[in-house]
Amino acid sequence: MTLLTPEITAWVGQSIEFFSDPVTEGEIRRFVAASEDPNPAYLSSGDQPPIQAPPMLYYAITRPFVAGSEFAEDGTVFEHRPMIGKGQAMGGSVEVEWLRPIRLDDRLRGVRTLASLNEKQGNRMHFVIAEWVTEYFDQKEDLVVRERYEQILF
Amino acid sequence: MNKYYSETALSAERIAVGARLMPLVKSPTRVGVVLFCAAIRNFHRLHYDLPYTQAQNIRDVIVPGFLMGNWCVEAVTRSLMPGAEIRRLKFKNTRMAFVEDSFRIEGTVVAYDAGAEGGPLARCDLTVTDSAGEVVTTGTVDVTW
Repeated sequence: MTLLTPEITAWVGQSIEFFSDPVTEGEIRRFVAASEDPNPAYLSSGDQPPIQAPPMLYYAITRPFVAGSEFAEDGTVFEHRPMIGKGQAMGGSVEVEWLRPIRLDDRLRGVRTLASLNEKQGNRMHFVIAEWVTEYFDQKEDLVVRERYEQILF
Repeated sequence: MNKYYSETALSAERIAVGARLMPLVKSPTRVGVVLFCAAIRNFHRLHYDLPYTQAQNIRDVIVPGFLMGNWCVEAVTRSLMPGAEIRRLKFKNTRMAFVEDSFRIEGTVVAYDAGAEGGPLARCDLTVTDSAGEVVTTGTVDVTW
């Protein structure tokens, strides 16, 4: 039985827009501590602010804060995505391009588009690979990050 | 130089195709993985809920893929002189990586363009290998400075 019904395939090409929290020193310090990557460029020195934020921080600051009741059973957030199979999701390959470093006080606006859905049969399960393409713009509306992300839905 | 950087950090004069990055070793703890999940706001139960994970026929909680992607970034920035800017990261998790295992991140410069627009550009291929010698993540990082 196919997981890709016409209702689900109609999601392909649809986009959503979302907004980040501002890049603060607190967000940077939290990420640096959690990633255990104390690159001096990410840390303030005296009264000098960080030269740049950790590149991967773009992902953290654009994730939504939601109540526990809004999480799916697997702990993922019910976001704008097609509900396939049991509604579960796992990460696949990721490609990120930074046109410039993320910096303190940046605010990002993301536009995420579902580029494709491909059904696969693995050893353990039947699943769908969703390919999402996201562009992140800064407060001046300049494109700063492009992301291509595969999500495994089952 | 700040001790963050490798003693053999690759300067613009020393970088070349075939140059090896300083290996990085990471041993993620359960607490550390929870901290990282909180920092990136990813609360998938596979990263902290052992009964849930074992019910999926997975033996232990797993390291978030984005953390291993970040290890690839760190391996590059530690191996280059200060001022490195990551331009591109591509990574794929090829096997499950379990908490409390030890991982070795190794990389090699596979391309270098001293005259690239915007500054010298190096491409590094990386692998993250677990204690059993299995590659759990492959990655490519483009970096300029």
